Amino acid sequence: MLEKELVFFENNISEWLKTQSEKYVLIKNETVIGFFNTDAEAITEGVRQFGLSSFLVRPVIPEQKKPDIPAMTIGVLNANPTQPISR
Amino acid sequence: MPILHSQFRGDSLNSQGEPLQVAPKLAMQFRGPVLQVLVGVPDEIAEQLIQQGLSVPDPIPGYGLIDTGASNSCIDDTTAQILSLPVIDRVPIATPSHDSTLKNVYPMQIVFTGTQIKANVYRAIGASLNNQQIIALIGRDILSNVTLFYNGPSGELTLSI
Repeated sequence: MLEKELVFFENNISEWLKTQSEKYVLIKNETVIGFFNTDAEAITEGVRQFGLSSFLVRPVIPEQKKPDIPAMTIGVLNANPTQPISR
Repeated sequence: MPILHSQFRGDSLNSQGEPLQVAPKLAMQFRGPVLQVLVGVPDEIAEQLIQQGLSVPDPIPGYGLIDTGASNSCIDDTTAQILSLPVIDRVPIATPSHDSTLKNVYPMQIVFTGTQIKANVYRAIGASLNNQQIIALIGRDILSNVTLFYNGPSGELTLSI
């Protein structure tokens, strides 16, 4: 899921950092739909255009913040469900 | 100012098999700081769906566990799928068996049942939470906007915004 979008993001982030730093990019397949001031604006536009199917929204920053969820890291919560999570 | 105040209670059985009320202090210690919540789609997405003539999925009731150790809130993957929430990113999460596993990211809304306290969370991490009898993990992205008072001795939890 989102494989194309994630590769496209990595291939273009350095260019976007020059002109769209701190904005949120909305990507579907290998197309930039737009840059937005907030993640809420980007997601709303994504839903407007693509309904509830998947699309990528990420901040244009040098390094993505990695979520820190110790309950998953130490295995208190199951981060590897036995059922595949995809649609 | 909306305030949610909750005192925990629990029932157990004594050695003779008779019902026994558990002290609030112990009930909160063993159950953890859970609150009744409704998990649904954020307001902006709901408005967009209505404008498109689509139905907005009904919020799903369940328990949310407050986790001050988590930087981000989490949503149960099955709940997210029932709500048809769009996947908007994939992020690496370290697990006991892997350095990092890619997890889905969803936008969600949490409403604390019986209050006007709600939070739109645009980057909730998908996780398998059902086996913990919770549908959401309430992390510091939500807690950064509220005051939380954990009263261990009296088994009470107060949340205000």
